[in-house]
Amino acid sequence: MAGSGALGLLAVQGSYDAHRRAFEALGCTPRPVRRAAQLEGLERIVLPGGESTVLSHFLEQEGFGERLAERLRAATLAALGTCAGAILLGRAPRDAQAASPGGPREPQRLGLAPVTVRRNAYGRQRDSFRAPVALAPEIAGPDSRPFEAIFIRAPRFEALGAGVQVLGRLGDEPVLVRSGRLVLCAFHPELTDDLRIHRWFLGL
Amino acid sequence: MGRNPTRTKDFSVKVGLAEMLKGGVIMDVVNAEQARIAEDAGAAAVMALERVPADIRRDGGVARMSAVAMIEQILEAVSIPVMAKCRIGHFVEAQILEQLGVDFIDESEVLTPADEMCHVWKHDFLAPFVCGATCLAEAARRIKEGAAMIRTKGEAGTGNIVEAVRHMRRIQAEMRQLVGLRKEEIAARAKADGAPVDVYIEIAEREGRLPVPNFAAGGVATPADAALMMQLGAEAVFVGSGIFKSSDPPERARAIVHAVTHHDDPAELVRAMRMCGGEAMSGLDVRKLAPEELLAGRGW
Repeated sequence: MAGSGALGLLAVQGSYDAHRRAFEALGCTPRPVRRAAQLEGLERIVLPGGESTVLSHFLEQEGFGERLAERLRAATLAALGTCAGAILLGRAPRDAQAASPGGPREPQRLGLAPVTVRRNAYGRQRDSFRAPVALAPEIAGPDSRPFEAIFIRAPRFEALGAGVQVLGRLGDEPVLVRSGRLVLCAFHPELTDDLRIHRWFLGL
Repeated sequence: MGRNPTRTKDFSVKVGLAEMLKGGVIMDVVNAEQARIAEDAGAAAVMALERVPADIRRDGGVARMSAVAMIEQILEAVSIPVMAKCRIGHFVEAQILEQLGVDFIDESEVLTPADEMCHVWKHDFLAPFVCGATCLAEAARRIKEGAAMIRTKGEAGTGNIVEAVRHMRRIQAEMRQLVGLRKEEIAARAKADGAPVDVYIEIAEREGRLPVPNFAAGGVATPADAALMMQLGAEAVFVGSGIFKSSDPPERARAIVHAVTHHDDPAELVRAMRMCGGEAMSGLDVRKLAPEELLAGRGW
């Protein structure tokens, strides 16, 4: 399973190093991606957590975001977006699209998954937390234990469009969802030793 | 509206935010306008403070925590994490910063120390802390007290990278040395250094990496300085006076972000240097500063 297709890791800003270690523990070495040409030949890409405004600036440079969006739209590339990565894959809530003058800016998003994602939805860092997430059987596998998830200034998935499948829940809330080959995760599976989500993504 | 009524002091949640800042640039800002310039340029976080270190150095006197109103304006102006500084050992300034909702507290030698014996016991706080270090033992002591991020002290407000290089090289070399030692030898080394044994053992078990992110700070003035620190092993870069004391803050901010992203690609570093439109801040020769003017010696 591991190495069944080239895996890229957007290595611009955020927890890319933690993702790299998680995949290496599964016997798969991801290729760091920092330019559009490095998307060629990839079958999967991870868009890690970090600051979505920073990643959004990067996507606007030299057509990187356009090329990435083309590949994702054609589903020739699968993507796992964690936290900031999920924000970029999803869509902005309507009230967040027009930022108030003098207030915080909203990052440009790829907007490819029909999932409304609100940034920093739980509050500031003091509202970050750890909590158990119930995983769908296809990810949990024989190990039905909940996933001990770390949420850092986390986004919330407020509305799911048609065809979006919920793969992880925190209480009643969807926190891990899938739309075709796009996976959006509100928490940080790369910060714990539980590799179930990384392993499942390698088979997607 | 937080979903968790009981907020957590869980260390992994604190280190988690530090992990999210890796590969980024954290910029000193003194007002909301500068904070927005920094966010627009791609800063991963901003440090809210009343005067950048170069001005603190020039003005002299006691440098304290920034004004509450100014920190609040910056918290409202941007969506990226906001850091603020408290004086070394001043745990009440830290309590106030935490209450304001600051995302990361820098217990900083740039401000005048409030306690010459004790640093803040950082495990008591919800907010994560970053602390400066000049050597591995100092980094390990701060981690034991609860720091979720370490940065080099460098020599803030000089625009001179030499001290940050010295501190980063020393910390990296001391970590490499631990990897080759047996446990009882690590214990002996910790005793000699005045460092906590368990933190040293953890560093060795992690093959020479700190258990928390290790960033660079103090004297970064150009894209090349930032990339130098990254190639020496820093995982992100703080820029204090370097941006808003230059003649070209928005361009220089973008250029330093570009240089940190592409720190190992000389062609992109040329582009980053070209992105700077004007002059870097003027620098100071650290050797010509009087001992009482050096900030890195504050704290232990």
